[in-house]
Amino acid sequence: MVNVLKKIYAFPFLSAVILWLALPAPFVYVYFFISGFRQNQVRNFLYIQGKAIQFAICAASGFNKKIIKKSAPQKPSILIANHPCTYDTFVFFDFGIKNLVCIAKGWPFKIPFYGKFIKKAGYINSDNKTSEEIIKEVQDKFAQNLHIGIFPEGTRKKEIGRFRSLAFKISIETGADIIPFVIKGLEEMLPPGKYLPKQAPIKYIQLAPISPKQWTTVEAGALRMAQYVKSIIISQL
Amino acid sequence: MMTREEIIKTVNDSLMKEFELKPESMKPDANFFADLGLDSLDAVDMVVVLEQAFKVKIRKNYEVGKIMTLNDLYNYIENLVKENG
Repeated sequence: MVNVLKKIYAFPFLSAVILWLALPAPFVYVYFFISGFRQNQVRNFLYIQGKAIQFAICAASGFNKKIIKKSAPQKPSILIANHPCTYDTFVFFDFGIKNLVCIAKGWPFKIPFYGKFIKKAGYINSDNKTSEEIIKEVQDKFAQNLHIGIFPEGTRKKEIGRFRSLAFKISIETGADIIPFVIKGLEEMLPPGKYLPKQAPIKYIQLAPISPKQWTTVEAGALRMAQYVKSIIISQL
Repeated sequence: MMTREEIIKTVNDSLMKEFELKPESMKPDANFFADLGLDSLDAVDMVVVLEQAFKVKIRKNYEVGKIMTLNDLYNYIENLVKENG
């Protein structure tokens, strides 16, 4: 009986929260427009949005969501995760990380309101940029004490896909640690192409930071580091 | 000196291994972007992988920018191997 109630509860709750998040966007946009789109404010808004979505995901899981944290990163780092679901971008917020900007392809920047918010929050659009141009932008973000979030698979995949080397190239070039996060269960709840959540247990795991030092002198170090980090994530899935 | 068949096999094996591509997708007219799902950022990795596989230096130039399909790449590598032969 409890399980049946949990299943009935999950979908309307998730829909209501997402609707609630979408409705205030025009009003918040007007506020930000008047106040001059201050980056910190916009990032805080995205953080609140993300926390609400994480709460909705928790409810949709039947309150079967576990978060395994390590201590918060002290210096600007590159946060990476596998990418089974649309809502993965908000996973980092569940670890209390607010000072974050993500590197994303162009399409999220075209989403009404949200696209404008992430642009104004300082997220990096990787479309039509060389890795050198992206690294330069990342260095500017690090100077502002911001972490960089990136999904090395590039696109959502139910089964873990190839890790592209950009995040690891950035790590090697800047010396910033990679902090891997593992997302389990969202591939069942909200797989790519599905919009109705299915109840599934969720687990987010923060892994220990990985220094790029051992790959700085290796040929094709970024590719090798990508393969190593992927293997670490797979071992937790 | 490597034959064209050896070059094709080395290119295909290296790309399949490093970019997790499926053997059935490795057709000569396969476009890197549309058919193999690679993007401009992958091009950097591809250069590194091919430089390692053929022990040659691939320079960023106009000719490299024109490589769109696997067949273009086979031709480019074949010429490069001949030059370095």
